[in-house]
This record gives sequence, C-alpha cells and structure tokens, in this order.
Amino acid sequence: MYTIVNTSGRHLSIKDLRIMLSPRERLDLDSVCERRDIESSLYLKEALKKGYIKVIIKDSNSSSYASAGMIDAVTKEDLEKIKSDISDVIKSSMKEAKVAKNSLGVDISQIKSEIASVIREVMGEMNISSPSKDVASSGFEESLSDSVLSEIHKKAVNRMMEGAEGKVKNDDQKKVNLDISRRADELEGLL
Amino acid sequence: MGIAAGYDVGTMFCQMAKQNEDGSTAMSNVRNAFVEVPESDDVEEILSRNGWQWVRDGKSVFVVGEDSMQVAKLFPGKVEIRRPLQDGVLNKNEEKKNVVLASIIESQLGKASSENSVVAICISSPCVDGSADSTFHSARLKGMFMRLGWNVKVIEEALAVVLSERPCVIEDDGTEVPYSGVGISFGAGRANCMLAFKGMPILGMSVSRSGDWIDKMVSEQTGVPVAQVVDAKEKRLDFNKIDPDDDVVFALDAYYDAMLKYVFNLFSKKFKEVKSEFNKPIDIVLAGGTSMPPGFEKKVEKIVSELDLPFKVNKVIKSKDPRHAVVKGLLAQAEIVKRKLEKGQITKESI
Repeated sequence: MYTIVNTSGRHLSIKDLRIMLSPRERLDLDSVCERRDIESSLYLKEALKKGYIKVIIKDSNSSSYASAGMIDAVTKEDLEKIKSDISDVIKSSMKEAKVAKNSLGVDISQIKSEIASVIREVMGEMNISSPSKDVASSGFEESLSDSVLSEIHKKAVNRMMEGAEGKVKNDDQKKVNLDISRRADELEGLL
Repeated sequence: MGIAAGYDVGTMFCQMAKQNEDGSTAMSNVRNAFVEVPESDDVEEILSRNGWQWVRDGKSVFVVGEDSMQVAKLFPGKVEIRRPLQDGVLNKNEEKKNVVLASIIESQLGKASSENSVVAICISSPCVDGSADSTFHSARLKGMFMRLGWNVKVIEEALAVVLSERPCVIEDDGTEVPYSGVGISFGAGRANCMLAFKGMPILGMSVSRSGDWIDKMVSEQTGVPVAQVVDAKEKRLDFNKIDPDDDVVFALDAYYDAMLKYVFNLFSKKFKEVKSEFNKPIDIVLAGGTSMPPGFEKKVEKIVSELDLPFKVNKVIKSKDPRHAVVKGLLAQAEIVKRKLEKGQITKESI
C-alpha cells in the first residue's frame, strides 16, 4: 500500500500519474499505478516536498495494482455508463424545459437552476467532482520548482535528440584575453 | 576542476565564451539559422563536397549556421531560412527548433569537462509591451545545457551588459560604485534593459521591437529585400553622416529613431511606475548587434535627454565590443558561480 492524502485544501492533479485528488481525499496509489511509476513521479515528489500531499501508509508491497485494479477501480465501461446517464438526465430536463417554456411560459432561469440542481444531485450520488471547481493544477504547475521543470525539459530534449546527429563546425574559435578573473574578483566582493 | 562558460542564445547568433585551461578565453559565433535540404540520394555527398554544417533528424537534413545563408543565396525562393528563435524566445512556429538549437549548442560548447563546470545563459527580462513570456523558453534552454552536464545559471540579458561594461556611480567623495547603472542590450528580437546597483538587478524589462523590426519596416517601405537592408545596415549605415539620397540608409535612420522612441518611452514609463531612484547621476551602457552603427549612442543620448526619468543620466556609453558584451558578462557571472560552487558556498541545487 502507498496511501496518500491531499492536504492542500484544493483540488490537486498529479499529472504524470494522471491522478486528481479532491481536498482531503485519500488514495492508495498502488491501486491505480505501478510502484515504479509512483517512485519516479516528479509531480508527486514536488507535491510531497511542498507539503501539498502527505503519505499515510507506505509499505514495500507493490503488487496490489493489478488485483485492486480489477476489484476496486472504475472501469472504462462504468465511466461511459455514468457519462451516458448524466447526458440522458440533462437532455430530458432540457426537453421538459423547452416544452414548459413554449406551452406554459415558465421562467427559463428557474428551469436552468432546476437542471443544475439535478446535475449536482446526480454527480453527488455518483461521487464525481464538478469540473468547474477551482482546480489547483495550473497553480501547482506554476509552483513546480525550477530544478524540477529543468529536469523535465532536459528529458524532453534528450528524447527529441534520439536519432538526431550533426556536424556543426566549431573551428572559427578566437582566443582572447578577457581577464575574467579580475572582473570576477571584484564582483565576488559585491554580490 | 570546473570551467566557466558564457553562452548567449540570441535570435540572430549563438555566442559562446569559454575559459581555457591556460587562462585565455575561447570565443565563437554561430548564426542561429538553418535551411532544410531537399531529400535526395546524394545529400551526403553534397554536404561533404561543400563542407556545409548540417544536422540530421530522421530523414530530414538541415544546413545550419552561416552555411544556411549560402544555401539560401544559391537557391533564392526555393529554400526558406528558418530560425529556432523569434522575438527573443523559442520560435513557437518552428517544429525543428529544439533539434537544431540543441545540436548547435552541443557542437559549439561541448559537454562539461567536470561536475563543477558552470555555464551562464541569459533570457529576456519581463516584457512591457505584451510580447511572449520567457518561462518556457528559459526552462527549455536550461534543459539543453543540463543534458550536456553543465550547471546552469540563468540571468537577465541586460544584467550581463552591466557585468561586462561595469558602469559606475561616482559618490561625492569620488568613490566609485561599480556595476551600478543602466545596461541596455539591443538584439535582433528584443531590446532588454536593466537597472542595477553593485551588480544586483533592481529592475529589468524588455520590449519586442529591435533590429528585426527595423529591417522589416525598412524593407516594406523601400521595397528592398530584408537581406539587402541588413547588408546596408552592417556596411553603410553611419548616423554621423546620413546620405539622404540613399533610400535604404535614410529609412534605416528614420526607423532607428522610431524604435528608440518606442523603447525608451516604455522603459521610462516603467521606471516611473516603480519609482527607482538614484541619488547620483548614472551611466547608461549600450550593447547588442543593433547598437553597432557609428553614432548610435548620440542618437540614444538625444532621446534620453528628452525623457522624464526618475534619475539623472550622466553619460550614454556604447560598449567597445557591442556584439560580444552580453556573452562576456555571462562568462564573468559563470566564473563567480563556479568559484562559489568550488568553495562550497552554494550547492548545485541552489544555483
């Protein structure tokens, strides 16, 4: 088990593990990811460093991913069904609203608010968080430390350079005397 | 023992200054441009016969650096000169920028010789005219040097001018306060400005109007291709003796004026906003390829004298080596960081 809790008070995304956590939400990472992916996640490391996430339980057992995945995880089919259910509710509510507006002259804003409440109710029952809530992912990304960002970019450039080769001349180098040491001595005293 | 290097990834040139073991400094420039060579069976032979510099990415082959200009001249209208950078940042419309730029850097600078080797690079200061942000540019560039084993220090471009040119404020008792004043770098893509005190950055800013903008405007107004405008700018432009019968030179003079007024008005507005004050008059030092034409500093002096700045200007001074001032300042910065690293005053993570 590798259970973490989101202590940031905001929604938090761990992009490289494709996980989103609500405030105070707990999650056993071993049930959704491979342990090696968890250990190499830069976003997770950074979130732990910043104190956005705390580790509650961490053991050496990393084998629960497959079994937990089969028993607990929501399958793609489940998600599709949820999506389709929500869509049906919205469509039928809108249809009713349209009929009501045309035939009875009911206030459209009232119907809109009813639809919104139906959606909230359905999403609440299914324990799905609203996408319109304040998601901390962009702020989280901005808060990534410079070293983590540079490491990500270093890996990206290395990937791009796989299979690339070149012959760029470097034979027009000029040798000059700049007396950098004296300049650095002076600046070292100031900075 | 580590070595120190400065590297300026400019819109027009990649410039490198690296310390040699004998204490001398090696400097080189590579034009930051490339052209794609049409795929053919004998492409290897063509490249080798002409001695062109090239980069291959999968099946695509690119001629890079100064040679790309030669290829473009040989096939006018058939090959297009492409640039990894635009307006001082990575060119978002150029998909091969990373491969070409990373190859140029690797060839020009090479891998770090030891774990304490430091390279200082520069980025533009925050822009004051709504041009592109430098966050992605900075992180991506840093990644390109880190992959070669270098410890990377990033500073703002105009601070490098201050570190290289050493502007001074003179106190009442005649004491010099070095590295205090305003440094301005007029590059191809952007003009960068930094107010510094004792080498510490106080206020940095940039605008996306500089050499490239002048070339484009003059070309549009005179109908002369940009390449010829650049040629006139580098060979014939002298602000001390403008020939009114030379259309291109005359237009260059007018658009330099327009660019300088635009740039200094924005800088002046920003200085006033933050109320930066100096008790003593300060020097403004100028550098960058766009500042090279003779008489440029007089033009700036005239415009600055008409501005309402929150400090008095003592002198406007042009660098003796405007093209290399930034990379020299970067080398000085790298040397300081390297020393601190070797003495254990800083860690690699805190650079």
